[in-house]
Amino acid sequence: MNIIKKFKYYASDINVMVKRNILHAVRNLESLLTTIMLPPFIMLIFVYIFGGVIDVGTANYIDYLFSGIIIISVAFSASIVAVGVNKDVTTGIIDRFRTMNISKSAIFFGHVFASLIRNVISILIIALLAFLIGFDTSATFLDWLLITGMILLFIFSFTWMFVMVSLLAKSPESASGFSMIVVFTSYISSAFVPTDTMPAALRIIAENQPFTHINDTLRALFLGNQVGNSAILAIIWWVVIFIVSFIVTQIIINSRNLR
Amino acid sequence: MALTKGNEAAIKVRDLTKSYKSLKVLKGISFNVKRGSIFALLGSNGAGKTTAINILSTLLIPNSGSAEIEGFDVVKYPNNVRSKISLTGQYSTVDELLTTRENLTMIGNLLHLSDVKPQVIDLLTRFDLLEDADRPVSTFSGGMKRRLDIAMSLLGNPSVIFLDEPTTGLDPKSRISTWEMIKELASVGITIFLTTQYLEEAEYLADKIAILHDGKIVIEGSVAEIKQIIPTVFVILNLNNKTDTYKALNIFSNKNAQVIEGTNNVKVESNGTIPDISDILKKIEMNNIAADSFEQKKPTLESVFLKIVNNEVE
Repeated sequence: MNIIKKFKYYASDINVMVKRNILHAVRNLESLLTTIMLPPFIMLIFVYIFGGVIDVGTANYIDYLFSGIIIISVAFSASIVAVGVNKDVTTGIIDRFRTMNISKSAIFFGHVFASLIRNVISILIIALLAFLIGFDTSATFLDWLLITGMILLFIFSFTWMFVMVSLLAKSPESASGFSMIVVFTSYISSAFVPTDTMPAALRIIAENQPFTHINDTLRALFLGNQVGNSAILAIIWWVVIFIVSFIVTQIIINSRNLR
Repeated sequence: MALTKGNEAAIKVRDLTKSYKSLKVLKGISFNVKRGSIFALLGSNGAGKTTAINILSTLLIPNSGSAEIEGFDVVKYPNNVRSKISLTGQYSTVDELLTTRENLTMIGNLLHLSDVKPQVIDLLTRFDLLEDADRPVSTFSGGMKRRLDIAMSLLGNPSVIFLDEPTTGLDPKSRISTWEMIKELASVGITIFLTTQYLEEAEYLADKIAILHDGKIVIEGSVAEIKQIIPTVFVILNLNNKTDTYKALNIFSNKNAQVIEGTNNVKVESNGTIPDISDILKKIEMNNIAADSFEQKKPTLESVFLKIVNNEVE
């Protein structure tokens, strides 16, 4: 088989899998709506309940918070991927796919691209709401391009990490449990509050973890501040996370000792 | 690696072993499956049936031994094997959130078939699923899911189909319609490898049966050959007193007569034919045994194993 034909088949397989996952999302409207609606609610809670007492140095707390809510939104949405991938593995359909002559990574690209679409919708809703409640940004057109690129990289890589974990998880429940832990670790970052009031040990973690780097990059771009090292650190972290997740996923799925 | 047609075996298995850590699941099994025939691997839970089917369908790698599907080694040429086979797993290998039509279309597209739509409609019609084509599979009964599962296996014209316990969990009516479906597949020349826990299923469907017990094939042969070795039915004689019980045990000692524990009743092997059963009843009358009634019972798989293992010891 020549390369062009191979590539065509690969693209077609991915297309089939993306459609499959979009149908899943539509048929599973409840869980889709929960993951899409939860982050805006969290945003409102933070702004109107905690926001009054949080001093972050910006004129409006929402200006500070906005990037953090994007991070949280992506983290929440990953639980759908976790459960979806794990269900594929624990219900038997994966065995049918694995005994077919198809590129196995297409199965997971399907999950990842569907997640990308879900996330973009959800982030657009958050953005709309944020502007309504007074979010102010000084981002230029170029900044917006960078913001979009960084967010897409983050969603893509983050979702692949979840694909890997869900393949390793024994049940959909434990896959979804892991997503809760990750959502929780995203709180130990600069997403909601500046890290300098945290205890020293926690602060070291908070300031050096990948959520903080991506969050700081986005926030600086929104507020028109210097981006500094955070952008390059965020890119390195999330590209490495993607590569590792992709390779591990390939090894697991092509291993003929999955069970 | 040449593909040989004709009477050649579609599946060749030699000394296959598989262990999970220290647990030996397959302890060296060998068999051939003739092209276009139905082969049943019969065994109880945990006998190693699914492990065998997973190795043959390229999901698992054996520890030793070899397996070939249509001339291709499953370890060395998994992709060639995959283009020849399809697998219907023990737990239904369908997408529950999709409709019947979407499931079939998805598999057709993944196989890169050029005419997915007409093939899907043909299968929907053949498998009597046209009315439910646009219902999500999650609303289906077990029998309908199985029907779709098998329909999906036919896309891409596989020459070998693996069915892992195709009727486990189905109601009697669905079981019979699944059997008919399987017979039909074999009639068009597809080689069928199925696993089952039910002796009667193997008897009804298979051209050849291999009984897998504790990781080994304890017996292999045609249905007729297997029937010679294992009783098809037991005749239970319901007796009133110990004297009659002893008499019956004596008369039917050549038929492996046994007392059913805690009763005076006696269990006698039979091949289930009318002459054989009437012979048993005649002997009861001739010997003045006062039997209240009698009943026929099918042997359990366990009793079959016991019988085979005992025969080997003798």
